[in-house]
Order: sequence, then structure tokens, then C-alpha cells
Amino acid sequence: MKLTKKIMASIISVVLITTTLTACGSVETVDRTKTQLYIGMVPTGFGTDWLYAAKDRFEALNAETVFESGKKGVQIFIEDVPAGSSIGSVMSGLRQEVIFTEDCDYYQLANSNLLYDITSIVDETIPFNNETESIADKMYSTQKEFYDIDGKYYAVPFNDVTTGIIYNIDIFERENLYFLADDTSSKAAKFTELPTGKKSFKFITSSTDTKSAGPDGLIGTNDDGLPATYEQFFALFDKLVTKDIIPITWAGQYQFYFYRFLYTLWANNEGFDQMSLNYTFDGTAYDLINSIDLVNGDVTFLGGEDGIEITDENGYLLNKQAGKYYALSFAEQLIQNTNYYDEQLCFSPAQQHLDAQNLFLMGTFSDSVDETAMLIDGSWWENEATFTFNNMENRYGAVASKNNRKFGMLPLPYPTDDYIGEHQKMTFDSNYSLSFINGNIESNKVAVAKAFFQFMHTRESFIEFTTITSMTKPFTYEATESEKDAMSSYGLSMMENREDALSLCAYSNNNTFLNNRSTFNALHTSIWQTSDYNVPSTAFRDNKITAYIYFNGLSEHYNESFWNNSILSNLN
Amino acid sequence: MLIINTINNKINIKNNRKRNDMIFYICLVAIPLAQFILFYIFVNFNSILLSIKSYDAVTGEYSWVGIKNFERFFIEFKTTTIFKTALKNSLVAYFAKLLLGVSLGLIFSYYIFKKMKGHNLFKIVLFMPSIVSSIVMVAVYKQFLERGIPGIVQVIFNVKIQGFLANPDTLFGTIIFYNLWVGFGTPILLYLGAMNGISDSVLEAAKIDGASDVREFVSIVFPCIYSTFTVFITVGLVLIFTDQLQLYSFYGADTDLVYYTFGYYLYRGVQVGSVIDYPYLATMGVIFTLIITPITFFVRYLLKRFGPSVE
Repeated sequence: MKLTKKIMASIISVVLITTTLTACGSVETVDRTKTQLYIGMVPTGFGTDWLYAAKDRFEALNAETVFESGKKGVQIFIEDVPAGSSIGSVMSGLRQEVIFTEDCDYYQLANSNLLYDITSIVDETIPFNNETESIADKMYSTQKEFYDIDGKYYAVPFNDVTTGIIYNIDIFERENLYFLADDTSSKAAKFTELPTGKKSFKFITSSTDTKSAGPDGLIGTNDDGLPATYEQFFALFDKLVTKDIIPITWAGQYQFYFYRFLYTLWANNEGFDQMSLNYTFDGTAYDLINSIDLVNGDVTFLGGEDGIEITDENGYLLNKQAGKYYALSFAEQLIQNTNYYDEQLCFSPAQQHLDAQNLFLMGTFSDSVDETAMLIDGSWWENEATFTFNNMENRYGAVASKNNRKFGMLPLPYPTDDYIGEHQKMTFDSNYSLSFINGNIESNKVAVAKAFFQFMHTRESFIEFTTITSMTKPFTYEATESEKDAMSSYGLSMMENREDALSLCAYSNNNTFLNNRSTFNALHTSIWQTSDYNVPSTAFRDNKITAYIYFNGLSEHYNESFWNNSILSNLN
Repeated sequence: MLIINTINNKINIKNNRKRNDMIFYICLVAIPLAQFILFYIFVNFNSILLSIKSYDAVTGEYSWVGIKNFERFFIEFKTTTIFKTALKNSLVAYFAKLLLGVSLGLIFSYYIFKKMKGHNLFKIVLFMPSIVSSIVMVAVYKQFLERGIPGIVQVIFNVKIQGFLANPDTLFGTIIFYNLWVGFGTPILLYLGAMNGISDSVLEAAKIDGASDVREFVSIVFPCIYSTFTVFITVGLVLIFTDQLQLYSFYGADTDLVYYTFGYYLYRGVQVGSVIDYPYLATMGVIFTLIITPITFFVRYLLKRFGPSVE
């Protein structure tokens, strides 16, 4: 017994010492001959490889630069920092000088003097790589209005985040899951009408067939053949079911993936201007539903064709936006047909996001995993699934590697044909991400921090970020053809969506928005809150309610009385 | 002279010892006292101040708003369902814990105290949740209920069942059960401590008199540990408004409205909200304190008045 205890104790000691030494070995030692710059990065799905790549380039570029007297060159350390409201309470004690984080209240941080004034480096032309623009030049007007506080910038956003549908292009190509173009209409997909009145859509039978125009309504673009309307989308799902392919999956543990996807769908239906009203409370709303005829689907709108003028006083009316209703009706149709997803997994807290990614990726290769065509996830999913990709490459060979598989962010379908091609593409600056210089920075570090900050906003750094993470930055930039060649299939779809797109900012400097930020936060359940429900997916599954009931519940909760008592009362 | 010097020396030594004792005492209590002042008195005082303030996100300044936050709470309580749901769930959870948690806690403690069959296993099962991190416990619990049990049922009966947390009909009960289980650790530890303090001669006398285990528990053990029991009942009242049932560990900020408790509402509000939201949350805290304080005193009075006597 004593011997056993000794052996056990020895084994545990060896394991602990080995792991401790291993951890020590990976720590870069401080080089006193160089200036140290500490970078804080929130741990996220898209990782830190992009930051390490930038670190290497910046250190090499400034190997001979003197930022502090008596020191030459720069040494960058990358460390974790928190996200959300918690960063505000620890900021002044953080040693990280340049910080990238998410879900932050910019005005609170700025008003608490926790952020360094970066106006000069945002406004001046970036002094690297022959850049001709400043950071401000690359920002969208909405962003500039928001981040400019009394003529000063204290932070800028740092990533675009979309929660959408990722589709396996390999399955689509193998199974010819693209809609056939209709000869008689440039926008429509070909179909025949069944005696029941339901449309039977035609799919291509070979890769040489002409695909339908897709959601953008244009032939010859990268969304050709993809479902343009909800009707087509669910026809595609039915087709997948007949082929024994599970149409879609998502993380049962985190229903926020589903409702954030609904947010994207809602915004997609509304378009940039109408969706922006939810943050500015300033403009005319043209699609506020007055009544819905549940038999034939006819809808009447408040204010008729002239719409309704939205102000701080009647912002609650935006819960009647048609785009929100249609997004809910999409959710209802999806959730209430359990052939479309595995109910055991998509509502089980045991299926986490990584499990859903595993299923999505493994299905094509593993006999023991059902094939799944689509995944609801954040735009960062591909980088997050790197471990699975690498495992699969080791197991199934290069064919299963990240670079040899084809995925794309699905351009979302519209409620009806009328919407096709009507809205400009959008990306989403809805994660409340910030990059900034810590307000507690020592004066001898300011120069190097400013240089690094600007360096991170060069076009080269943006392209590197997109190539490594397959995500995009919330700034105006484009990639050359050779740069696109270096991107994964999924990254390319993200980059092409970024080009010519408007950046929808889920924020504004409107007083009502700023003082009720957690109510209007695009990431939270509050924007889906009714009197009885707050999570659409579980509401549709557990209570079998209709989209109409849910939609009316939104207006019942966010009524005039609630608005006056709980929203406007927060204004001083 | 020598005597006087000796007396003076003795007095000096005594004074020095007193001074040293005082320094030792101050060093000993300084940190806990500072902690108490900072994290209890200051925090609660600040909460009370916050409840009559509002934060302006544009200017970053607080302003006095009087009872506006209180009015908002009562109007929301009256006009929305979220607080009514939270109240219902909070009460259900509290009474479930009170009736099942307290009675089972006493029974398990007595079982272990009497060293009955398998008492060591009981100890491990009941104390483990207090030792292991709650996030780990929740993860293990979820995997067991969602993958383990459905898997076992499928293998044995070839029937596909939903996980207990995935099934809306069993979800809330499953959460309550988890809270009951992880909540046994501390009470059992204290009940056992109190039971171990009972004189052996008293228990032996009862045994000689032919008292059964049940009689021994009712007539001797329970009266002897009654003061510990009353502490748990009295202190436990505050859970009505603060217990978040570990919902945040299970579902993060996305718990369905139908499972909200007041504790979860407050906890979630602090986690996902910002400075703007704190005054309103502080107001709720003050209101709950005003409600629960007289109830606590009343319950304590009842427990003292009608409890069993050791005599």
C-alpha cells in the first residue's frame, strides 16, 4: 500500500513538473535591449495567429528603430484580456498597451478616461507601406460619427462578425443542389406548379446547366443557383432530406447562434437604411406591419407608402418591422420540421459549437457521422475548427484539409421574389469590437504603441488578417486576385462579400441607444423579448407557437408604456 | 528600592505584553475588518446610493433621480411577465430546496453520523460538488444527462429518448435536482459537526432506554443541532431573491424567460450589462432587501419561539 502511494505520488510529481517546465519553455524572455510592447487580445474563435504574423512583420520592420532611448528594436508580447463589461473594471491595472477586444461599451470606457486619445494617428495618413489613406479614411461614416467623441477618437472597431449559414460547397457540387435558371425570368428559378399549388423547383443535373440568379438577382455572380427565397430554401431542404443528408445543424448548448443568425436574416430583409433605424431612431420606416392576413399572407403597413417617421419617442414601433416578422416565420418553418435538423443535438446543451463543427466537417468523410449540408455559426468558425481540420487531414489525407475543402457563407434568401436584388450587400459590425491604446500607457511606450496601432490598419495587415482568419475587417479594403488565391474557399466568400458592401453598425451615438445599450444589443436576447419568450428557437420548439404570435408578442412587450417607463426614463 | 524596581519592571513587562497583544490583535483583525468595510459596508452603501441615481452614457456622469428607479421596477412588475415568472420560479426553487434540501440534508447527515452502510460513498457523492469547480460539475452533469442516459436507454431498450435538459418538460426539474445535489455539501458538513458535538453519554442513555434511530433523531439529535438548523433556515431566506440556480453555468445569458429567477436576472444583468444598468439592478437589490429583512426576523422569531428544546 505504501509502495503504491509512493509510486502514485512520484507519477503525479513528474507530470506536474513536466507540464510546468513545458509551459515555461514556451514563454519568450524579455530582451532588455529592445522596447517591449504588450498586446492584449480577447480569446476568440479566430485565434491569435493573425496577431503573431503581424508581430513578426512589425518586429522585423522595426529591428533598427529606436522607440526608447538606449534601446533598439521592438519585442511584442501577446496576452489574453477580457471582453465585455468586465474589461472596464480591470483596464487601469492591465499592462497591455494595445488592446483588441469585443462586446465593449465604448462610451463608458472613454468617459472613464480608460482609453488613450488616438485622434492624431486615426486622422493622419498611415506611414507604412506607401499607404495613401488614414485609418479614418477607411472607416464608414456611421463608424466615424460613433467613435468621434467631441472631435476625438479613443478607439476604432476591429472585426466584422456575422452569424449566418455556412454551406458545404463540396456537397452542393456533388449532388447538383443548385437551382436551375428559368428561361423566362432573369431572377427566378425554374419550377413547375403542382396540383396542390406548391412549386416543384428544378435543380441542375450537370455542372454545365445554367444556374438561377440567386439572391442578388444577377447571373454570373458567386451566389448563382443558391436559394433566393425562403420557398426555394426549404425546397432545397426537402431535397436534402430525400438524399439522406441532414440539412442543417447548430450548437444546442448556445441558442444564441440561432437567434444571432435570425438577426442577420432580419437585417438582410430590411436592408441597410431600414435596419439602421433600430440604432439611430431617426428616419422613415416603410415596412412597419399594421396587419397580416394569415390566410393569403397579405400585409398592410403603418403609414402606407409614406411610412412612419421614427424618433426617440416611438422607437418601439420598429418591433413591427416586416423583416423581423419574416425572419421569425423562417425560424418557425425550420424549427417545426424536425426532418431538417437533429432535434436531439440542436437543443441539447451537450452539443457545443465545436461538436456542431465536428459533425458538419466529419460527415463527408466518416461513415459513423451523418452528412450535414449546412451549419449555423459565426463567421469565425473556420479558424475555430482548425483542430478538427488538422485531425481530419491526419486521418483522411490532404483531401480533408482546410485548403482543399470548399465552404462558403450562404448569401441569405429573401421572404419573396420581390426582395431579390433589391438590397446592397452588407457586412456586420455588430460585435462591439474595439481596438485601442490603454489609457494607462507609460509615456515612453506611446510612440511604439501608436506605430503598431497604425501598422495594424494597413491594407497589408487587413489582407493578412482575412487570409489567416477568413474573417474581414470593418473597413473599406479590397484584395487583389493573387491575394484572393491565397485565401481558403470560405475566406474568399467572406472577402468577396466584403467588397462593395455596406457595413451595418449595430450602434449609433443616439442618446436613446447609448443609454439603453444592453436592450438594443444585437448580441443579446433582449431584441427578441416578448412577454413570454426571449429565445425564438426554443419558443417555436417548446411551445409550438407561430411566428405571428411571437411577432405580436414583441410589440406587446415593447409597447408605448414600456418604452416610456423603461427606455426613455433612462435618459437624463 | 530593589522591590520597587522589580515591581516597576513587572508592570513594564505586563504593559509591554499588553501592547504586544494589542498589536497582534490589530494585525489579526485589520485585514478582515478592512475587507468587511470595503466589500460589505462600502459596497452595500454604494448600492443604496446607486438606487437613487442614474448614469448618463453620453457624459459619463451620475445624477440623482430620487425614486424613479423604484417606480420603474414596480411598473415593470405590474405590466410585464418577466418578474412574475421570476417570482414564481424563485419561490418554487426556494421551497423545493427548503422542503427537500433541508430534510434530506438532515437525513443524510444523520445517516453519515450513524456510520450506516455505505456512509463513505454518501460522503463522496455529497461532498464532491463542493470540491470540484461548478463549471466542471455542470459540464459533467450535462454530458451525463444528455449523452450518457439517452445512450444507455438506447442500448438497453432500443428507445431514443431526449436528454433531460433538452426536454422542456424535464428541464426545470433537472436544474432544481442539480441544485439540491450540489447544495448538500456545506449543510451536511455543519450538521455533522453539530452532531459530533452531542455527548456520547446522552446517546448511550437513549440506546439503553431502547430508543430507535428515528426516536433518537427526533428527540435527541435534532434538538441538539437545532441552533445550526435555524441558521440555515434563516440565512437561506435570502436565496429567494439571489439564487440563480446555476442557470448561468448551464445556459450563459441565454436562459429561456420561463426559467428565470430573480437571482438569475440580477446575475445576468451584471454580466451582460454595463454601468448604465447598475442603478436599476441596485434598486432591485434594495427592494429585495426591504422585503426579505422583516421576513427573516419574523422567521427567526418563529423558529426560536416554537423550536424544540434541548431540555
